[in-house]
Amino acid sequence: MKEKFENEHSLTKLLDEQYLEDENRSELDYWEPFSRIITESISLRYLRDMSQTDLAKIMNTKQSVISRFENMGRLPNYDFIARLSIALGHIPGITLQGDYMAIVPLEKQQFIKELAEQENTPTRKFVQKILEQGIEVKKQFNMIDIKGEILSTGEVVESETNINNQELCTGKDKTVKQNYDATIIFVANNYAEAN
Amino acid sequence: MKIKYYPGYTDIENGTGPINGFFKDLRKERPPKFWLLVKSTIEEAETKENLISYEQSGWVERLSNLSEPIYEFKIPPKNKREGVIRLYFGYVKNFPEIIYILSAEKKHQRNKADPEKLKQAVQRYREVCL
Repeated sequence: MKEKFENEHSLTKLLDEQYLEDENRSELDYWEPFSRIITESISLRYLRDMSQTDLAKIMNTKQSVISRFENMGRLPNYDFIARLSIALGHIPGITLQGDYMAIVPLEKQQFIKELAEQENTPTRKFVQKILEQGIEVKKQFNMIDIKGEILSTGEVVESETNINNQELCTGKDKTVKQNYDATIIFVANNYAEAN
Repeated sequence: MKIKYYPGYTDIENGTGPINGFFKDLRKERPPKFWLLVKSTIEEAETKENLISYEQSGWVERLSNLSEPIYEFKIPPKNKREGVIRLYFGYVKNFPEIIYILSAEKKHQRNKADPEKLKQAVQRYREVCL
């Protein structure tokens, strides 16, 4: 019975579809970071077992200011966002290229931090480096679906994937595409094709 | 968590479905802050194993005096001036990591839930969560 629930009626999928259909997508894009930092703030605050009052004290402000922010009151300025990020144990990050921005999930951040420390590299630069490595892998092997994951530095993980032959894929009729199965063995920082 | 909605496209004969329709209308508001806040909140909630943190911080509450276990997800939890989105949901029996949004409305904090919305939620709970 659980399989029935796997694919049907996902709310995030519905909202993603509505976003893509929207004729005024630029307005959604304009406001999206605001809603995102609100949910981030609440998640991080809860993770650190902080009340709004605790957070307000660290930020040298009032609890009502935190409450107004988290309830979509006044639009915060940069100073507030920067102080909020630092108070929640992070460093602020702003980019004009939000469409290409990615965040390491909370539950994986400690792991990434440890790897960065091993390489004596600031976390932000380490994250950028592994993102660029991932893009290179995608580019070199044109992978459609990667199963499995790199568990830790130096550990070998086997993964199966389909590699599309580029010449066959350029046809208009997608049914003529052929997939070549290959076994790719991943080693952290080195990639080799096995079969 | 898996957060789903019911009824959807395939569950009704005509139209887009009440939940889809609710979010379509919400998206038309200018600025679309509520729609975006719901989207980012739901995306965040789906990364969690359960909704306990939301219950403890007042975003989620079980509604009393209903014949079925219906919960209310308030987004944001307190906004008396501009209103609050209330998503009424139920947990799937034997699958506590899956919830179905059964009905929704936008209300001001001081106003009670629409009894018709709650009645719909109870009916739909029986259709999909049991």
